[in-house]
Amino acid sequence: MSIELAGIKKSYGKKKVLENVSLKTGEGSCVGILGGNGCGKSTLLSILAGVRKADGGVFLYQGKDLLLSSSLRTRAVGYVPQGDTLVEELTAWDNLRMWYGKEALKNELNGGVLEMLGISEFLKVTVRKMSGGMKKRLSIGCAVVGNPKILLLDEPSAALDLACKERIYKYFEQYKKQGGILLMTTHDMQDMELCDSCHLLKEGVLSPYEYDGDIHRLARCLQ
Amino acid sequence: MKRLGSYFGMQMNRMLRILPVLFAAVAATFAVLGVCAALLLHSADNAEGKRRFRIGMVGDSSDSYLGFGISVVQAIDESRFMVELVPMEEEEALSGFRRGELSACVMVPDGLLDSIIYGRNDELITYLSSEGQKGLEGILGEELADIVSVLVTRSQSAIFGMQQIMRNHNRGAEVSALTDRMNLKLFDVVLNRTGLYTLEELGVSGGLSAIGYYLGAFFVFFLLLLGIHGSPLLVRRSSALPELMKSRGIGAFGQVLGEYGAFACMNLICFAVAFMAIGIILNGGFIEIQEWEGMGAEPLRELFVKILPVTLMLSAMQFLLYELVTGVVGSLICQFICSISMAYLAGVFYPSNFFPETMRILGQLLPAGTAMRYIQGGILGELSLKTVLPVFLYLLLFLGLSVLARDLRLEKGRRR
Repeated sequence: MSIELAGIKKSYGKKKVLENVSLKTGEGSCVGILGGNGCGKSTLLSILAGVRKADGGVFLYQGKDLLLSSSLRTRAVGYVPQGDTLVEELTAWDNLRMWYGKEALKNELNGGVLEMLGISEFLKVTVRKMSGGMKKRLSIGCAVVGNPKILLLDEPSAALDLACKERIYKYFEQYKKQGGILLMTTHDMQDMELCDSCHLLKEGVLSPYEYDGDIHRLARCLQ
Repeated sequence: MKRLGSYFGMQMNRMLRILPVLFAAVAATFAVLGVCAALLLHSADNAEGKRRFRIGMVGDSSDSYLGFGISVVQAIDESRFMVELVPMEEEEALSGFRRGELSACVMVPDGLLDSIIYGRNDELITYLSSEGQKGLEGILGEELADIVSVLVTRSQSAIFGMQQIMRNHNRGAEVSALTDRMNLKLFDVVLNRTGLYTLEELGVSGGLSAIGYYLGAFFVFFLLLLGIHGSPLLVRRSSALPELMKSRGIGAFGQVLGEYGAFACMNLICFAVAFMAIGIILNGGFIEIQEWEGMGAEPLRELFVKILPVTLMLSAMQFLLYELVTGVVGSLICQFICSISMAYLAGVFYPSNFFPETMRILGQLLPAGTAMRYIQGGILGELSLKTVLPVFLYLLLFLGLSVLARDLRLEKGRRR
């Protein structure tokens, strides 16, 4: 099982954000997409999640183009955007109930994915009263309904404390071990350590980047 | 379908959480509308016998005939609408009219009597009323000016005619006595004029009594204002969730259905509470609906079921407005302005037959106007296809437009 992005393009008016973006990765892998602010990282993930429309290109999985097959994409892809997709006035349980059936939710909370994310601890807390870490874990919990094989994460650890990051990383490791494919955009060095490969998105083009822990070199490349 | 049900469940959950606050808002709205209704009904009482129209009379009231005409009209206390004719100078009358202290001015020119005596028609009585005054007051004013005109001019013509004939036949000595007799005869006829007609009350509008009419108007206005209460549920803050939902298979139709369903349920619950309050008022005998005399609260229960389509239709209209306007402030202003203006045109504050014809037709075509007619039919127990069909057509139209608006917005977001 693998995924392949080929020739993905996107323009905002005359401004070309993505030009011929291509990438291939196999099961149990984590790919980091690096780039400066506004370079198109979030746009790329939202296109792959079906939230935005690409001007061209394909996103192949099991021989099918997920950009065209929405039913397969819904089953195969989980997406955690940067923005809030949670309903503020409701509790974690209520938010999860929108995506999970009652029985499935109980199962996931008892020994499943949601327990691993530690969501049981704040099940009755309204989103309004949650910390950033709780919200992020809940967003991931909502995204992984139905155990999708591809998980798209838009800066998953932004503004999270170390303990919270540890918890999320633990889950990501587990997800990889189960054969899942993680595609994440990030600025965070700890996130990069989790990645099996990194790609640099610059001027609309995605190119492989060998991350060696040298942040100054990365900064120079991003300029 | 399962996910659609979950989305509706989630929206219901949101609605139930804001329900306590909503009940407080509904109670406040109910109280304010109750006071307004009481004031309106009080002014309707005024219109039934207590209102006084002041009309300024400009002319030489020392003239026995003009003075006589004025005193005759002033003596008609049995009139349904009492009239006060006030003799005054032209300048005083005009300034009083401009300040709104007078309903109208009648100007009798100085040479009128001579003109009548010599059979000329070159001096005319001038009646002044405000431009475009087409309400009850204006119509009454016009009628009263006609009465005054007849009283003053025709009676004078008759008396002068009689005097001329008597003199022509050398019976001038009898003129004085005959003039008094004619005056007394005229006085007698005028004072008894209330016996010359019967007054049949057709109600305020559409055959409804004043209280029946304003009960219907109260329901419509209350439903319109419920749109403002829906803001915590329907104001759009971020497009992230709707866009994510679309990517996961819940498109515009599913989203609108889930959100509208919860909003309509919320309005139904609030409306049911208002109905219960009105039921208590009716059972307590604080007000009586003429149309339901001796029937207890049963017609009210029936009316609640009958009004459900109107509740759904107006909820759909309010939902569409939230769909079209973004932001808390913009949405609330839009809801408020639409509620007030539509209520006004539909005849919620004043019966629509007080308005010029164009406004009346427009008011009836508007959603609030169709709701008014439907509810009036419900109160009278006379619902017909003509009143029911527009409500359902509007319901489908508003829901269709809401789905279209949501779809366009989501599509715009996808291309962004």
